[in-house]
Amino acid sequence: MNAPQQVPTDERLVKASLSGDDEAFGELVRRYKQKIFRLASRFARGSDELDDICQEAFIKAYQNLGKFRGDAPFEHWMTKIAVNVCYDMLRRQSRKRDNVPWDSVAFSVGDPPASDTPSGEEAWEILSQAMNRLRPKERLVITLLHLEEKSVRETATLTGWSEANVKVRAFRARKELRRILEDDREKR
Amino acid sequence: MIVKNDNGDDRLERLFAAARKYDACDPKLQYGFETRMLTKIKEHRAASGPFFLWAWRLIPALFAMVLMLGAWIYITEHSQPIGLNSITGINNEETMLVASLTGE
Repeated sequence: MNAPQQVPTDERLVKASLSGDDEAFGELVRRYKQKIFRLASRFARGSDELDDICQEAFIKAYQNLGKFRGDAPFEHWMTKIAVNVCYDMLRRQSRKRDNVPWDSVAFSVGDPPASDTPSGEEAWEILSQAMNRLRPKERLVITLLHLEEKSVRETATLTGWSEANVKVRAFRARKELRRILEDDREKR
Repeated sequence: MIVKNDNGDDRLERLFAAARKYDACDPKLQYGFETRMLTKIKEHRAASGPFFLWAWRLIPALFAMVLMLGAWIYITEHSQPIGLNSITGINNEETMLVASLTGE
């Protein structure tokens, strides 16, 4: 009877990728693509942008594989890279938005939900449009804490900010998001 | 006085809770993603390849340049400088010789 084939660890796949085995890196992509796609979908504005973010994240991971020390799981390291790519994308969007004349910017955050407890899709539509008007740092912290349900410590590790900074930014971001949603409610 | 808007907070919490359940990611996008990634990586490697090849080829030339530069610095530092003092020194000797010959 054949012994069951051992599933290679992430660390082993990283080593194999570093020695030129592309298939090993392909396996790492296969393992984590779902998680990275889900995270990036909280920031991307469409499927093209989502695909671009994910590709950029994995290419950056590939280019920096040599810097992976293995003191934290590969999944955390990969998530951190994806968060950085998403944050860079938010900043690029924000800079572009700053160059758009104010009178051409639409400020509606979508139709009101039919009931007081909106469906997942409705809630996501309302939130994502409201979050588009937050600053990149605010959007990042709200997404990680409230949508991805990361702890303050995890958010601090992923963003490279101190825990105190995460708390302050989260408080301000939440306040701003509430203001945007309430303003929009009053307008309707 | 700070008035906490519980209604706003509650509404926000409900929105977060509902949005968390919604997966905004189209699973079709993930089909064949790893294959596309590997193709991209190979393209990337091919694009950056010639630069590294040239960089390796340039090493002997750069090494020769460093050696020549070192030799030039060594030679210039150890050669006798023709300074202003030496020129004025020669002039003084000539002036003194002329003075002694002419008896001035």
